[in-house]
Amino acid sequence: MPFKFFFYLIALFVLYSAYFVVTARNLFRSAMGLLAVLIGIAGMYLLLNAQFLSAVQVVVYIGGIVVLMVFAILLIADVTQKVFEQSPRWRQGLIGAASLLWFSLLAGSMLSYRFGAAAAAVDKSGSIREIGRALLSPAAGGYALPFEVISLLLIAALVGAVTVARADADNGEGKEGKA
Amino acid sequence: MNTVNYLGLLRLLAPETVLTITGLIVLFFDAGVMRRQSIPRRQQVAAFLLSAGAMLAIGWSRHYSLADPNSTSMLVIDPLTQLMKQVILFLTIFTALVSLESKFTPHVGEYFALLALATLGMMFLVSSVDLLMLFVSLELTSLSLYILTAFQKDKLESSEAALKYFLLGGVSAAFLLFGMSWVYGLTGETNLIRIAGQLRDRATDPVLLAAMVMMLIGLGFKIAAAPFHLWAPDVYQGAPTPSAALIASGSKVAGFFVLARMTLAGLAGAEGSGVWNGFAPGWVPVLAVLAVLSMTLGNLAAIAQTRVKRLLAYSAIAHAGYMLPALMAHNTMGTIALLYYVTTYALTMVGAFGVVAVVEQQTGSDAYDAFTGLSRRSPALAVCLLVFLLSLAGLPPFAGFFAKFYVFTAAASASTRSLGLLWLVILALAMSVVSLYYYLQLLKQAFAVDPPAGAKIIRPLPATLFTLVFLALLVLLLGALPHLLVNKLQAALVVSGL
Amino acid sequence: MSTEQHPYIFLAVFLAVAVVFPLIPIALAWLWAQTFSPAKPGPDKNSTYECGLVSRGEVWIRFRPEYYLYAILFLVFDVETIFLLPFAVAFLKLPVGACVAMMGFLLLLLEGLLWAWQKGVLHWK
Repeated sequence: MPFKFFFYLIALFVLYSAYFVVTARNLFRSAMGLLAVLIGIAGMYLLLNAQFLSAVQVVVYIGGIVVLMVFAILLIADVTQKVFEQSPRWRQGLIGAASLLWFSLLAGSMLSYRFGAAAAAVDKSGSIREIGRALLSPAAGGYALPFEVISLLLIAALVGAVTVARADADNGEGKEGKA
Repeated sequence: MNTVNYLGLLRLLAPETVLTITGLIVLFFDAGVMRRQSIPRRQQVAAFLLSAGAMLAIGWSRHYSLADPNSTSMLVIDPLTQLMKQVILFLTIFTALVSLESKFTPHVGEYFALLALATLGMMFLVSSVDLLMLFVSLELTSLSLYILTAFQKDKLESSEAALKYFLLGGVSAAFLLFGMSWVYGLTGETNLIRIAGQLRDRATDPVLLAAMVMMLIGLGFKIAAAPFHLWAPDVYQGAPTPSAALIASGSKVAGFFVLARMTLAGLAGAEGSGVWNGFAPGWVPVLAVLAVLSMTLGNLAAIAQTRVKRLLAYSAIAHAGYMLPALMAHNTMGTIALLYYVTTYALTMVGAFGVVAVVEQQTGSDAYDAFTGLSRRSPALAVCLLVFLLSLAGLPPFAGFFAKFYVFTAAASASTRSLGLLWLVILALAMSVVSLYYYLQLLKQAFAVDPPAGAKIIRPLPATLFTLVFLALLVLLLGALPHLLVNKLQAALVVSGL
Repeated sequence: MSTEQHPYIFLAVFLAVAVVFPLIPIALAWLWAQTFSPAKPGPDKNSTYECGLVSRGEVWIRFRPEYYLYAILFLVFDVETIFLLPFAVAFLKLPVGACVAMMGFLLLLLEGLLWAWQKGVLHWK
């Protein structure tokens, strides 16, 4: 089945890139790894027939957030040369064990349940036109309200990020903004 | 008619709209008209504008019509949500007035606008019954609070605290979102009421339990319950004191309310059981674990503190632990007790942080030493501090006593089975005794120890002093006449049926 | 689009071309180097090429923080654009109220931009 083939292909790609992000010792390389992860996720969306989401992923995450991250890294010049110390072996082992336990709990409970029935209940086609209509509909099932709240969220992010990142007269400390 | 619907939506959300406009006005007025004025003057004007807007919103929130359930599936507007919004708006006003004292930023307009935005997020949070709406408003609140934490740019602690808050908050939001996505996968619904209807017959599904645990992790972070409390001490310590006051009060009220809505309405039927010797999987035993850990860790760690803001942080963790049993009772009495507790607690916390803000501004420190001989350097402040701390400790003439009393009786009488939740109540009582020790330790410093030679008299601004005295009187009043608030809560609760 | 052809075929073609196109010259250059100019590393050869001058400083330069502020502003309006797209696509079938709602959304963000302008954030120092 081509679907399964592409799914596993992309999943492997994403997993490997994610592994690279956390193990790379250079921050810049981590950011590039993250770029690969996000591209993989965009492919995953395409595979699930969510084309709009896929485009959002490319435009916002790949075109916006990763670029912002690279900017932040380049603002702090020596980070790219700095090789980060890895945490001690025992701690790595502990974190690994905890993650494995958590993962097996989640995977176990997920495998015990068939999501198929509920997934079938959601039959929205997901076309951009339909998204547009639902996004601005105030009626039950419409998303006009969260949509307006998002504009508040964006303005909070804008005001906050600029205020925090902007150098005041006497110092130029910065914190990464979030969007 | 679609256009009518938009208008209807706007009318339902009149208080929020008023506050949005207020926030923008504050932002622009400060950047434009007030640009050349001195910082204290700008603070006064911005605080006045924000308070006026919030008062207007409070007035508007009293005139509402019950939302037609068909008009939107995102929000509920009922007497209870309006009451909680009023509480949050009052807390914001108090925070704004307390902010007058501190000089920590030249970006006055941005600070007060973000206060308004954080408050807006909390108000939406209180009203939302949809997972999507809930998450968006939670993010609005959190994002504004992260930024408010980072506002003191000349202090490294502030940036560090904001970064920790931001990173941990992001992780917890991820947990919440992941849990929500599972619930959506299980039910195909995002509306909490419809989710509850779908989940009724499969309450013990392992997938649901996993999803529930993840959502409780996310919300447990918001209310600073152990073991998701690690951010609290650093944030309370590092944030500018007025920001910390809002984080400790308004965000707590909204957090507990949304937790109550999520568990009582959305996960109704998946309670499980937390009675002694009779555990059954569900959200009650999960909360029981959080409660036990919070009470123990919070109180024991508070003993070792030497700085007041850190002390308040650990006591906040402990208080989250006291409040959870009221939720675990999952009956009307428990909900009333929870809301009474969190409201009085928030008022007390704003007051306590207000006192700390004054002392910190004038002595430059929030260590215990800074409070030495406070009763002689500023009697009014010292008495206010006394009222707030004794209320937090839960002593009789103050609101904190009845809060604890209601919670513990609600929890103890919740189950008819053998010991019920009594085991938790006994632990909470024991821990309250421990907490008395550290509150008295600080009060001893303020009242019994002579001020060091050359210690300055502390003079708070009239507006701040007035706010603090008002809060102290409120705490006393709600302690003497608790039914004032309880009756209101009860009436509202009957109508809304949470 | 015909039903037999999967709509993603063209994406796959794009992807393949995008990968192969830059790889060919690199591969050719590598082959060329293998045969005609074997590696002879030395201090001069390893240094950064700077128009024949002796290279100075490091390759990684430090960006000015102003870029970062612009990047933040860009990101916020990037998200806004994304929301505009479904609105524009569905525009003809939307009621008047929806357009007003969109205007509300746009106005809020516009005020953000005005604020940034007023504060002199857009001013390049």
